[in-house]
Amino acid sequence: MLRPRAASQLRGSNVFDWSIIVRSRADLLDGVVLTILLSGIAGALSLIGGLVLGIARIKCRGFVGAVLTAYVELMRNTPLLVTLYLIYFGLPMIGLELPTFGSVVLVLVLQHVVFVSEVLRGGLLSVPLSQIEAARALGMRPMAIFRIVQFPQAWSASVPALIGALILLVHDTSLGAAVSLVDLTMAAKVISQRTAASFEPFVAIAVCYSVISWLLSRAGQFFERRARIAR
Amino acid sequence: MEFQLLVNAAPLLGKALLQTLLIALVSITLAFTIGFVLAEISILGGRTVGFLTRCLTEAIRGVPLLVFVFLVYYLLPRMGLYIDTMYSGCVALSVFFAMYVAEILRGAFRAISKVQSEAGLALGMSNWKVQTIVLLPQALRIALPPLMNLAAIMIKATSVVSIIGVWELTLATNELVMRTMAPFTFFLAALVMYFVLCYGTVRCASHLSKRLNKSQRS
Repeated sequence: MLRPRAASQLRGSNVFDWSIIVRSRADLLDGVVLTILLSGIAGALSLIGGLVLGIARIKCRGFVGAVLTAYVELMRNTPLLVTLYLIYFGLPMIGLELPTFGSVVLVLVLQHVVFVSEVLRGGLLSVPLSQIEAARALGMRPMAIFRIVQFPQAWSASVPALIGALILLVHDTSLGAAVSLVDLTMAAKVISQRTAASFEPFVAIAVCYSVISWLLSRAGQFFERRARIAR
Repeated sequence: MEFQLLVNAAPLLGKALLQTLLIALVSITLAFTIGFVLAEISILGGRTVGFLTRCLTEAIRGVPLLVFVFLVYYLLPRMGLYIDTMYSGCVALSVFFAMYVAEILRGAFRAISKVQSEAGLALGMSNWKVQTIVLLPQALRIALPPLMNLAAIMIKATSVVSIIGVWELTLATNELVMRTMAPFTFFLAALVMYFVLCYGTVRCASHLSKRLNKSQRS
């Protein structure tokens, strides 16, 4: 009973069909561009936001500090997908119409601000207190202490972890496909619906994501070497 | 926030929560097992085997979880395995996170000083005995807190398998929202449930790491 089906499977669809990928390379390219754009914008915003949040979590005590800690814990312990659904379906209900791209960026930033802030906070706290006291004794202003003494060291300590967070961000952009954003993952879904080839497009985008991650980690090693000069 | 809606949907949400827990438990168990075997293979095997497992780890970690879930979902039928979507999701989750488990365990084994295994060998223990009696207990002590954190990440990650149509908390919530048009009520409820699960696991992890460190010091 089972034999004929297995045999036909072998002959029919087990062969990897390259032509599908070649034929739909335009869709894949569009997807790559959108994914990179999305990660670029969300990455830049969460870097800025993460810096602000990280400093705020060090400086603020009392109520504000508690609220910030609660936000960090909330974001760290809830799945991104559910937050995405909440924002994507929830905001229009209260009269805020965001485009899909905007809401995906918003959710990614909301989540990754937390990761970036944790990394930078660790970096800032790793700078010995004696250095800050020494700078203060030299008569430097608080802004100057931060800019010249504290930040460069914190930055060079946290570059590897930041690159890790960026790779995670690129991977998280794939969840945009859940709300039909036409990124790389959605491109594969579209191709597989058009050509009825389910497996090949996903292998293609897996390779794309791997290449992006690999390039980022190589760039990270480069920046790590450059940033080490500051130490 | 319509409270009545939430009360009406409570049994359904409870069932979905149980399903999420089931998926998480199955995948965590499988991931830890596969990851452990992979770590042991890459440590005990020669240089070539170590290189191959590293390649596998890097390849899978370079791909987003969602893409990996899709890959497994479409690959399994091609290999002639027709299994339920839920199990396909579990397989994807466990294989994906097994790579992280293997990485954590490998790091833990490397953190143990080499003197330990040399002493074991000098006492005439076999390689296997050194591995199981000397190194493994210490490695597990080092690796347990990060593994617990990984478990929390896996609980969060179960939400991704809803995209291939596995009925669990996220998909159930989504269906409820489609039916009732009350996104805030149900998605916030789901967020709270996920938060309780993950935060509990993370707190356990930090508690555990404190206790383990205490025993290490004395």
